[in-house]
Amino acid sequence: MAKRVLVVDDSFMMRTLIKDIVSADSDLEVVGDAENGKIALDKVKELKPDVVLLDIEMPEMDGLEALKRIKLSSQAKVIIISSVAQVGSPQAMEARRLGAFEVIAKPSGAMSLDIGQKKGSEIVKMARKAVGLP
Amino acid sequence: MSDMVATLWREFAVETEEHFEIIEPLLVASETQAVAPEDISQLFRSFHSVKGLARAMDMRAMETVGHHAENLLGLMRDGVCAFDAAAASLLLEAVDALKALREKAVNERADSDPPAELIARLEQAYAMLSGGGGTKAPASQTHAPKVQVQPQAAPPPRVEAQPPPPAEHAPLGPDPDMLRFYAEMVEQHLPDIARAATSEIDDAGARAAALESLESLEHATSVMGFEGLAAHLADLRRIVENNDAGGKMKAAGILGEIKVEIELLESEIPATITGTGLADRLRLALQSEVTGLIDGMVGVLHRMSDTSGTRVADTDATLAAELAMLARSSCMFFLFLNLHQASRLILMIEDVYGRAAAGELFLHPQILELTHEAVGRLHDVAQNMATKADIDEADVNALLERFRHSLLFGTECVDGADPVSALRRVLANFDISPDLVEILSAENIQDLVAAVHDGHNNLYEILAHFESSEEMTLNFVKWVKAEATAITNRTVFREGKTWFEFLIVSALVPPTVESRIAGIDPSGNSILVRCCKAKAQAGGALATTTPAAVTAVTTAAARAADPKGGAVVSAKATNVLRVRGETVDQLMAQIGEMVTIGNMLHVSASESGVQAALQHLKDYARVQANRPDVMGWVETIEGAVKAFQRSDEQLRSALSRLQDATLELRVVPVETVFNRFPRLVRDLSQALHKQVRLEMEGGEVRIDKAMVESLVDPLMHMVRNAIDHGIEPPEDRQAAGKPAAARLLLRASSRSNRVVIEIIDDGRGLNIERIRTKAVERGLVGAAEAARMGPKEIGRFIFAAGFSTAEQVTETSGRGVGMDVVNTNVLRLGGSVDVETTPGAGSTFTLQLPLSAAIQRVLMVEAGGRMMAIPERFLSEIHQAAAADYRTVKGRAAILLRQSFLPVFRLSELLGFGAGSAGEGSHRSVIVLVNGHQRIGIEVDKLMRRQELFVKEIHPKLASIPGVGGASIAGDGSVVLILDGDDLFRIAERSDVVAATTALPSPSAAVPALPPTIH
Repeated sequence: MAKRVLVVDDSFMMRTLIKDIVSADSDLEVVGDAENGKIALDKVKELKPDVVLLDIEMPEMDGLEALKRIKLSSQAKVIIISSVAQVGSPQAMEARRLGAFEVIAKPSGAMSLDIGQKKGSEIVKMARKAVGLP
Repeated sequence: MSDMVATLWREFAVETEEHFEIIEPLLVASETQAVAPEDISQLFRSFHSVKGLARAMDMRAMETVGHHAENLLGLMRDGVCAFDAAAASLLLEAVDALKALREKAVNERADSDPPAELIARLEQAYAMLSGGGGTKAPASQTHAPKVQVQPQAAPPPRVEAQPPPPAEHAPLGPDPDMLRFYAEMVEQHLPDIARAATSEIDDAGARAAALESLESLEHATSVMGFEGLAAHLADLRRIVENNDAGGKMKAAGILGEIKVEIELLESEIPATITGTGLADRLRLALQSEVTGLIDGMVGVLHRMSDTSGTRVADTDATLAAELAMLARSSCMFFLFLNLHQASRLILMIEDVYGRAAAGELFLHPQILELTHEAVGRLHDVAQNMATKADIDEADVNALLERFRHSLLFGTECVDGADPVSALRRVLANFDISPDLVEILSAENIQDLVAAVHDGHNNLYEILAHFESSEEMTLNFVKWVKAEATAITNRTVFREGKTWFEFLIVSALVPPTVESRIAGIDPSGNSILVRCCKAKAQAGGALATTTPAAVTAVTTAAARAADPKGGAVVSAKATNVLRVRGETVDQLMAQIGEMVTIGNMLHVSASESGVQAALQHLKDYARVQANRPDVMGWVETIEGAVKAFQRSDEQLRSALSRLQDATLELRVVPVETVFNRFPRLVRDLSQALHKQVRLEMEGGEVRIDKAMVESLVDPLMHMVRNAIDHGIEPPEDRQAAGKPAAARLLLRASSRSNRVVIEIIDDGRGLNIERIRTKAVERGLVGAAEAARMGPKEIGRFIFAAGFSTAEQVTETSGRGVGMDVVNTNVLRLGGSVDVETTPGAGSTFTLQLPLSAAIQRVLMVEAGGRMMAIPERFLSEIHQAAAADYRTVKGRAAILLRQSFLPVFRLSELLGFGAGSAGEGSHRSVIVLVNGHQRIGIEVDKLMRRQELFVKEIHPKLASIPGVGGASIAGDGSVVLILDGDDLFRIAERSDVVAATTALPSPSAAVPALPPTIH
């Protein structure tokens, strides 16, 4: 059975893009999306995803705040996808400390405009790794 | 180009625009007033989002600008420096640059060169504000906003030397936030968990909630590293899962342990996080709560004793239910307070009164007495809660024993049959395992009997072990939903595994069921089926039980067989759906067609000819031929016509609801228009050296999206006018005793189906005298007439064609677009514009607009054999004129209407459709059209009806016909031309070669100018 993925980002376009990238992998299934941390918490409870792809900068409740709560209330692996959390940035370190499985950059044009490449993209690779898929 | 990429580009355009609309007003506002921290966060997020969106589309120039703006705002957000006007100005430049880059990105899907000069200044500002003094922003070293071409295949930047992610379930350390969240979670879940020890847990919903809470808390607890507490929570979860007899008592015990653990935990959670201790807080809250509950119980008992002389079953049941509820609530609290003996006692009370409320047992006086005694003991405990003294265990045992004894004695006192046992007897007819029978609620039994007694269904017991495969679980649940009805289910432990036992009803025969199950569970080890043979006369047995008795036994039914608590139900769609404007317009057009067809139908339905024909037939049948058979046919037709008319009415109301709902899809908040103004006002007032404070109200009022674009220009023009002409320079204002900064208010409000937008300034107001002079100069009005007119009427001349009072052509307002253009545009939208002014104190321009530009209320008329529609907004009145009323004034036909001559034109002639049959009838219909101060009469051949028309985009050929403003499809399917009132006035003026004022030989004293008349 495909692993369940929840996509959290405040941009509709980013959600569309990330969902498209993830659903190219038949072992992963996007079960829902959320536009801020608060909605994400409800969705995590409701949809019980295996992986949460989480943005950091969001209104209402930001990604780090949501990360803490998701870690406490669910067993889902959380992958931070954010351009704020550049590797080595305080946010990235904080996300790691709080139990994020991985911190990766937002998809850049090279990938979104060449749909063929996305299967091997960083997001898919990390999501597979998080749920123990080869 | 794939659809996906097209979608991404479209969303890119929409979202970047949205962010600009957020950013601009905030920045503009920040120049004049203090910026709230949340605004800075919002600005930061928006620039950040623009950057991310640009990055996703490979628009590096936008990404770079966005990045630098974000960096700058980051400093302000983190309090490194203050947000000042200089920064706002610089950021506004960044927005302008981003907008320009976005235009190119969206239109050409091409990147541009980053604006180097701007970026240099942004970097400089960053360096200065961050106090580093360097020229390069530190963040840009870690980020990749390279101006050069990015290597396309480069992976997102990552540093491999990161520490590995923490092991699963590793304690996250004493993070105060985590502890706080954890404390919150504990607090949040405790009530659900506490139910484990109450009879509420028999309710499937409560059990599911408790299990979910336990799971969450157990997980969180182990994430926090509190293993002891996690183990206790796991124990409790298993008890709740089994929910077997005696489970509640065990649960109570474990809850006590959990309470102790939580108290221990509090020594680890600093008081600064939880305020007062968690347990203490709980205790404090509980103490008054529990005392209140016990007092409530005492009160109910007294009322019960009062009525015991004259026992009324209904009152008893209500009071018993009340008591049971109070007991249930207080039980939870006793458990938390580790008062186990007290909770045992209260559980007994809850059980007894719960059953009494359901009519399962009779409240014998002895039971009431016992309850009094027990509640008295509980009362003592609640009073002395500080000492944490429980009731003596032996005392409780003795009390409980006496309760049981009374109950045995009491139940025998119930007159007649006990409804529960009657139902149980029904069940004896089925070969169901006794364990399952035990858990069947009255509703289950009703379902079961109803499903089986007609003989078409079979009853199956299914034992399933689901832990092996989630897919199998899902398939099983799907199958049950599709082909069977689940009566009940429970969890059983066998051979160390958890099994679900289901009782299901299905029309399928045993071999089919077996093959279905084999399909779901190929191993044959995880799902076991047994068919329960129904013994004869099951239905008959049910009949011996009265329905009242069945319903009297109400137990919360565990109906659903879904062990996952409904997890298979698909997730609710809570997302906002984005639809392109054109899609809604198409939908609107289709609905418009439906409305048109509906109108056609309505015409047929209300066709008076049918009624007349029927009447003739009736007369014929009765008088002429004495044909009762024909009478019958007539009645049949009459009935059909009535039904048709009824359906027509229903269809019309349904259609109008549909239309309204679709209209809602088209509306957007006026804010989307208003948000463009802060920037405009800022730029303008700077250019003109004026001080303007812009205020906006009613941004939430909604208008048709199609109207937004057409509204922007007129509004902009009026705002420009207000700043350019209305508002004085600061020094003039001060000299006039007004504050230097002028106030400009944009206010939207909605009145029934119209939207009103006002532009209010406190400037110098209109120069009425100059307008008066000019109006006379331009020949718009006679000098004498002008002298009589009040300021309000004079003010309206600014909307007349070609009228302008500006003494010099300025860059801002003197662009050859006067208020007359505003007026024309607004009229085209089906709206109107008006002005009110007080010299020296300011002006108020008022725009009135319809909610939707697409649907218009019209009057249908016939002229020259054609059907035409006149929008109601042009109509003033309808006049029936006799041929004798017509006069000839200066070679034109006119009628006298309220002491004024009204020029009358034949519509068919005006439009050039030929003369038609002029003035044949004794009465002619004259429609009085109004345009500002002018009135004309339009004579038509026939008045039809008023209706709503959906205006279609007009064909260019039609558009070129003078007087025609649009087209629609009429009820009978023919094309209807929608006339443009303004155009009709223009044609009328042209055709009327004889102008100016002519007094008629008439008894009336005042004969105003003709035509058109100006009042």
